[in-house]
Amino acid sequence: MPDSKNYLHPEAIRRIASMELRARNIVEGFLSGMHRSPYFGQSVEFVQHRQYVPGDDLRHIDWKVWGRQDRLYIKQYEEDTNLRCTLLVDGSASMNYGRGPLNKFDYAATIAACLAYLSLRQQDSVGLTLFDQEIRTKLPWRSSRTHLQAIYRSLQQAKPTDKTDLTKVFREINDTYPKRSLMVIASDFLGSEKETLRGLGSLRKAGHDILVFHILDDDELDFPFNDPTRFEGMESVDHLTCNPRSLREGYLEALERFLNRIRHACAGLRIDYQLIRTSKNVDAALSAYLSARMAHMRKR
Amino acid sequence: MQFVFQPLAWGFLLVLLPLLIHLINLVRHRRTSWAAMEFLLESYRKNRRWVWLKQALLIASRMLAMALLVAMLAQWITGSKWLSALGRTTTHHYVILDDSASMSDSANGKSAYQTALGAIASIATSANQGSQQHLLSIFRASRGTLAANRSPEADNKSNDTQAAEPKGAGTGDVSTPGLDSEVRADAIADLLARTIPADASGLLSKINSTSPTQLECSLNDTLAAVAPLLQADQSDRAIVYIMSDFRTKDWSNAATLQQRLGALGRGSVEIQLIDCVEARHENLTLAAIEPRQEVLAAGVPTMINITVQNHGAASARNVAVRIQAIDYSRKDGEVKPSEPYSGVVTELPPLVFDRIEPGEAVTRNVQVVFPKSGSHVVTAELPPDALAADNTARCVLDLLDGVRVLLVDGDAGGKHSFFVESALDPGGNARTGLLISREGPEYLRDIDAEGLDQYACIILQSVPSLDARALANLHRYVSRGGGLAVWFGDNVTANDYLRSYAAWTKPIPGVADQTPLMPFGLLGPVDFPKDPADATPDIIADNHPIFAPLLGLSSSPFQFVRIQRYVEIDPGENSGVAKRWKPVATLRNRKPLMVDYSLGDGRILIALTSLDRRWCNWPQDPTFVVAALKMVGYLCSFRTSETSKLAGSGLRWDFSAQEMLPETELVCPAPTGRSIRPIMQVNGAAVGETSLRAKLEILPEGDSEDRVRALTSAGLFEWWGTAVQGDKIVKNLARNTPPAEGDTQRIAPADLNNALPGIKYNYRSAASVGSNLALSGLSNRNLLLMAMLLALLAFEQWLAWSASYHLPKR
Repeated sequence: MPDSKNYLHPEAIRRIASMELRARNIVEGFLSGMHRSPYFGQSVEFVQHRQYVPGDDLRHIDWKVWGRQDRLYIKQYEEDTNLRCTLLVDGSASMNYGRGPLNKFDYAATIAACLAYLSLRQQDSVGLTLFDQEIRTKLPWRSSRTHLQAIYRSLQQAKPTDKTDLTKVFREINDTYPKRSLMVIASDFLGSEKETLRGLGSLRKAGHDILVFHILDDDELDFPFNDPTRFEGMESVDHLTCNPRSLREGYLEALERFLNRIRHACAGLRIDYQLIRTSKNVDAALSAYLSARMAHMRKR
Repeated sequence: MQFVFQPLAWGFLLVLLPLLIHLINLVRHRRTSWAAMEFLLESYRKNRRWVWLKQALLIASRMLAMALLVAMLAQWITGSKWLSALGRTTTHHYVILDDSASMSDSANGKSAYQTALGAIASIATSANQGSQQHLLSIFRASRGTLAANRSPEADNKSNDTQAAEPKGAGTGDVSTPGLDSEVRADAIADLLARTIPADASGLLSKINSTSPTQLECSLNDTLAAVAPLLQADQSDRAIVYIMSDFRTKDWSNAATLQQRLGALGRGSVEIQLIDCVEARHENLTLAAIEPRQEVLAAGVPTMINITVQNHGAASARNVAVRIQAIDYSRKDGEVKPSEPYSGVVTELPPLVFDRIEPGEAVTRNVQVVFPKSGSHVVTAELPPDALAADNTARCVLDLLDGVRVLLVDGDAGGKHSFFVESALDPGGNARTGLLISREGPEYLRDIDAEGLDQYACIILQSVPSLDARALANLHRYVSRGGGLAVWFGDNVTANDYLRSYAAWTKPIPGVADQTPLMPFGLLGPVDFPKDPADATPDIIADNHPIFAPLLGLSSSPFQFVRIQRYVEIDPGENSGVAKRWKPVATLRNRKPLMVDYSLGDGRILIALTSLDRRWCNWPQDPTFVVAALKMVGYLCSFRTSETSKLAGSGLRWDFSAQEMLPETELVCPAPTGRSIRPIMQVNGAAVGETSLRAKLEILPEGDSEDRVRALTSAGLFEWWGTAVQGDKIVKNLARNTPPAEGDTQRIAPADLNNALPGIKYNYRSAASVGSNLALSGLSNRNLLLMAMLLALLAFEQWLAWSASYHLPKR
């Protein structure tokens, strides 16, 4: 792993308490690892020429250069600042689970902070919504650097305690953000599956591009428990005392079915879906975000 | 259910262990908050019943596996029909019961013998619980030993139809047991091939009424008797139980026993060695009680040596031995069967042994005086311990008013006998108990051969050559236990020695025993010059009873004894008898001065000097009196009747028909727990013209249990007769428990294994037999249990895997 990637590992991230420093380190480390950024968009401010390669948009060919030199060059500009990115972070009680360096909420908050930093670095406007069964924190779109501090503060002060109700939350979000935007949702979706899919559908119907980070802990994906354990629900009063090994197979099957349903539903809604393990580096999330951003920009 | 190791059946409580572990695991669960409860609950709802069922089956299989394991370890046995479909149908149990004295070793009020009886009862009880047929034969070792040791004369008397003792019995020959052996086994068996009924108490009532004997019994004889029965056994299974206390002395170097057991084990016979003693106990044994080799006469103090041996593992301190002297001198004595002794009992001060180390035998002595003649008794009794049988011992002192000593003097005036006579009978108040007679050399020639037997010892003083008849009389006298002392003197000139004593050194004509009266030749008298430095005494005494009081002093007691002449011997001759003599005292020049020579049952002391002042001045020295008295005591001791014998020895009394009536009564020791002593009437049978012999033989196959027990008891047998004048005459016989029975050291199982190489046997404690049963007839199901256990464990593993108790490889 390159040195720069070390900053992306959850163990390294956990050591940085400040959300601002954490986002900066991650994003700068992530970007410094790239040889050449392909993520330059359209802008009024010219930046540089680049030799044409097959696949480039023909609209960006500088025909004047071709006329003078008989060579094809692409004109590159600074990105526009008119991309609106909405970060939706699940702050429900179930996000508090995690036995690794970061629990699910920490991981989701870190991703959100990083995306906010990255977006604002590219002059995009970013909004943040923390929710559980209702919206707890709502920050409108802003592209100023000062807005970043508000986002960090909101993420750091959040205390996941309550249940999840995505239908109600997404309806409110539609009302809050009427303009189309790139919605980045970080959640474990451990609530009502129907409500989750209905909420995603309503967002999609409103014209938003949606990137889903489905964040789950290793324990939830692997269920490695061996000894007799009393499991107590984090968002319910349910509890179960059992020998985990005897239920492991059934649990994993049920979980796999759930993930498949979510994955298929997202595919049906043309929602970018990314299953994230809290033990993995955050670069996957950042890469997915940049890809989604590019797609969103092309549509415009 | 029955098990060989019944105590291990408590292990069945372990079947609760898997359940307990399961419950503990449920209680000790960890708690964790869990977000994805929905999927967990879904899995639980889906698998709940199946998981519960598997869990229950798993716990049940583990509990069952534990039960099977315990059953295997405890060795489950059963006689049920469906499990015994492949089993045998008839089992013959041969029980060889060691009833020697050591089996009375008790702990917690229960003797090893009682433990053995309990084991037999358990065998019978357990056999009843099966469906198979069981036969039981019981043999006591004492019966086999008594039958093997009885005399052929008794055999003929007791049962003319029975042949003499079988060849195999007691000889170690087990290869060719004949019909006789089988007959004898049949005769000595307490039970023989008896079917065990549902209620075995009646069957065992006879054996249960028995108790250990006071004999030293060998299992060899009984095994020899049982061997032919086993060879002819038609039952499907034969098991030999040897119930014993497994003492080291009996088993460590028992070649015959090994041979006999090996012969049994070669067949299909199972050998079960049942140990009836749980642990070794501390035990003191009265190993010996006997008078010193001194003159035993009425009114003369007698020193009784009492030896106590510590057979325990710890030192014994301050052991007080109770001493009793029982006087039977009263002419008007009468039989007192309700009292322990008919004589007058005098309690003597106890004899205290300060310390006896483990394995050590310590001898102390006590002095007793019986003023009048009679068949007196001295008893010694140890404090109670685990083995009571060896705590008491007694000896009989048949005291006469005086012991007759014959002095034969070569001088008609008896000048050579003066000093000896003065020493042996000083007169006045000093009583030695010796009645001295002085005769000339011709007396030895003229007297009848039996006439010399009236003398306890004979002392020759300066006797010249004796003719063949006199020598033959002396030879016969000594051979029959007489004591002879020979002193030389001036009656034989120096040149005559070779000629005069030549006949002593050669076989005597007319005497069957070719051993000469003198084991060496004589070279004649030699002057013994005085030591110029006067540093070494002329006499150097060896360790011999006649010098015992004079040894161990700081300086030699013979400092003032001067030997001037002595007779030199020629040891080169008669070298064949050289091993029979040894010097008792030597001269300064290492030449022998006094020689102890063994001839037949008697002894000859040859003093190679004379008591004449021209030869030595020893008679004037005080040591001479001591040595003379000890010499007479020593020579008299070889004709003294046995003061005690081991229990079980034959009982015989020879008496004169002219002095006593033939009707006699024998008062036996009281059986354990009873106070009345049994009395048996015995009529003397004529032996020769003037003698009667009253004799009691033990016939184990014919005598009643009470009679055998009475005659084999240890204790005092009072034999009462009636003189022709009407006076009661008593002859006491002491029978003691063999001291070896007190050795309680037990052989370790490993040593037993070494002692019985190549013999397949099963060694176990009586407790395990008593409570369970390795027993015959009931088939041991370990093989079946093992197969079930393996199958169950395989099922358990599959079930555990199936229940996801083993994480799959990913």
